[in-house]
Amino acid sequence: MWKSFLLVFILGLFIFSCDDGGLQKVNDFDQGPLLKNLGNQIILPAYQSLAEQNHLLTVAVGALREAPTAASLADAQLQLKLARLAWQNCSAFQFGPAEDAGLLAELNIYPIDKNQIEQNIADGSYDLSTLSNLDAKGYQTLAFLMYGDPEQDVDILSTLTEPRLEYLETVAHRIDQASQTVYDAWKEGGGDYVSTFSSEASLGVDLGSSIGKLVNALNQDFERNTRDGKVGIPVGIRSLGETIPTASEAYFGGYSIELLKENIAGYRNLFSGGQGVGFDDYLEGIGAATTGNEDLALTISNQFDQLELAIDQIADPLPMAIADQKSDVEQVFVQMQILVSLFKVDMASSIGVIISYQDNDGD
Amino acid sequence: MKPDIGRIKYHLFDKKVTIAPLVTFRILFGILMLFSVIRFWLNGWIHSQYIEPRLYFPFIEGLRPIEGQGMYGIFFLIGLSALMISLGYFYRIFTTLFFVLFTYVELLDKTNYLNHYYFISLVSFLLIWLPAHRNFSLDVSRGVVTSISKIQVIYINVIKLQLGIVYFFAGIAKINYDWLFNAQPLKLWLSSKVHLPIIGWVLRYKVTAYIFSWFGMLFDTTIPFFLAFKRTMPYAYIVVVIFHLITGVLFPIGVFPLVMILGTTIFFPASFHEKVVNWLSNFFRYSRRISVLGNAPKTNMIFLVAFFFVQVLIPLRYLMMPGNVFWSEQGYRFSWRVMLMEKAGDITFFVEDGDRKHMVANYEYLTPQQEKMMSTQPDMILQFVRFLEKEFEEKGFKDPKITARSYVTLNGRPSRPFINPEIDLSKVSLMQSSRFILPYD
Repeated sequence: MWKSFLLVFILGLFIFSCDDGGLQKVNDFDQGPLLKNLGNQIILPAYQSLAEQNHLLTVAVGALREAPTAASLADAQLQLKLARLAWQNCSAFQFGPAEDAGLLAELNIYPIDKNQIEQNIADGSYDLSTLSNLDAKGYQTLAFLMYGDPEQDVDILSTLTEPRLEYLETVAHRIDQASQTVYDAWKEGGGDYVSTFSSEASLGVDLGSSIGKLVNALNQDFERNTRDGKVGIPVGIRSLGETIPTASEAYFGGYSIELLKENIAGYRNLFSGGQGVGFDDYLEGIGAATTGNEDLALTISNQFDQLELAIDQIADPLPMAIADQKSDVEQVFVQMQILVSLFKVDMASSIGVIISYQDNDGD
Repeated sequence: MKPDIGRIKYHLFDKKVTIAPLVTFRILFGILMLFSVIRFWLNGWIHSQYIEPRLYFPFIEGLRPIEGQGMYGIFFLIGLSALMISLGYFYRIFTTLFFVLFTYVELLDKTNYLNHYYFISLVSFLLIWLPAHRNFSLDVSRGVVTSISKIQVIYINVIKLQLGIVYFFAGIAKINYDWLFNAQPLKLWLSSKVHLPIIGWVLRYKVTAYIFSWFGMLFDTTIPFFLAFKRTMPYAYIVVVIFHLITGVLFPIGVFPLVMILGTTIFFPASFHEKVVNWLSNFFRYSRRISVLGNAPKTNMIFLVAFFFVQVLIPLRYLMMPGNVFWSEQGYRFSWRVMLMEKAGDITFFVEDGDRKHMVANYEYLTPQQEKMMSTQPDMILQFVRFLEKEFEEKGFKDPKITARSYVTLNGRPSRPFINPEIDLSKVSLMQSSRFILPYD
């Protein structure tokens, strides 16, 4: 009896499978074009631009050290800003080569430790790869030395002694190197991670798949660095309501909100895939919906609009915005929080990515 | 015809059979557990699960991992016990040690709860009381116990029953609307595997998810019976192997498929096990002293009945709890709900003291895995709230009010609010779950 049951079952399976016409597919989305587009048109150009801008920054800082004038200072300051803007389009991609190179730690850890920096400069010898110097390098360190504390009115050019200039160049050089390493690892002819990224073996949604890595990395970056780092922590959401304006990303340069806008634009570009296939197409392809049975891709896109509207209500410098219009800044945070949920819960779950930054068994 | 109670009792309990199946089970169990411990260790999970976290979600309040590197010692002892169980050396001591330490580790953090760990705790507990070391063991060689070749059949049947309970309740749990009529979460899971070679193309079709769902339910509920009957056993075992290999390929379930594939060999005919043990004895030049005279221990029937009766009650306890068991998870664990739902969430806590309001960054306190598990499981949410309450009282908050904003998605449905954002979670207990968990429908 049991054997015949099994036979019928297998037969049924066979008949079902052959009847192509009446068969509905679960998920017709092909990840290949998505990964090719994201890799070649979004991630690789972003890292290329970052490497170029960081190199120009190093050149400008070198020129400043060579001849510290108002003109060379202004040029270095401008290059610093351009490099930081380029970074905003890369922050979501801290997996693979960037993770191996410790790119984030080399470029954009803030707030910095001013005392540690002054100590290093006074000592004249320092190893910036050590853990104790984690808060004494990166973009904000350059900004601190090139702008000085906005609270104090000093002629910054006169403070730029040779030991400070040397420190500037050392830090800029490290930034240059790290981003070049990551770009080389990604590009064709280099490490060619861009091909690995969209290869057959990287398809799927497991922890080791490209989508798995990307979605986990972007969620982690958006929650910790964009929502909390750029807005939440300065506006005091994490410090019993007490604001910490000095924790702003561009506290010394005074363009934190401009960086935030670029970062959000970068995220939006990643989501839409620029001119090509993006996460929005992925979500539409698998018919992902929200509670109100609305299109999830559209809901996320609308939430980007809301967030951009909220950001348009505030203006640089961020510490001033926090002092004068705190509730508007908090509103930016609230809009980002909604986006975090949409990314972390709805999007990740719809495409089947388990949000988990560590490997483990399930049951 | 009147059922002959005496005969049934004889066939299920008292009949004397060869001890060989129990011996091979002991050896396999020990080797497999040793392998599991080594795998766990090499994956770095001892550190990431029991050393790295700042706080834990224990099943028993106050239970903590050993400080520093102590947990490596615990895992070493578990591995050593597994090896000794396999060898049958100081068997009673090492089965007890294995059970106690393994269960201790599993009770440390709900984050790491897995049904198959619960299964291993139960089996190792049973092994303490079974005479699995009474043949082909070092304990026999060194003469502390006499060798016996026949035991009461009940000693083998308890293991079969234990395995049967796992399958049967896993099958019963699959009889629910989402599983059978929406083919969820399988539709979701399989759709993410369509790129796999060979089997990928077939996973592309909705009907595959339905077939897998129904087959899974039928397999789980019936396989214990097909394994138990001599005539169907060989076919059933082939299906067991295929079933677990497929689940092993499709899902990240670690050693579980191997545990079941090897564990169910207990259903093989006694003659097969007899051959295996004989072969092993020859290979290791171990002389199996033929002695039927050793006195097999008496079974404590009341104890056995109670042990299994409780196991039937535990999976059914959810019936007495409020809310949908998949949503509120009241009575979800320890019930063989294996790979049954896809749940993800995001929860943000707010701590208030008058005008002061603070948002908690979960990642400052929890590992990603802990955060993921906590965000959908109410008892863990309350444990975290208790931790936050203490943490913020130390920071000078007087009687902090703790609220949460949360979204959870279940089986691919759009996310919806999970915890009532108005409720001060520091003032509720799990018994009042219907007060703070928002209804599912």
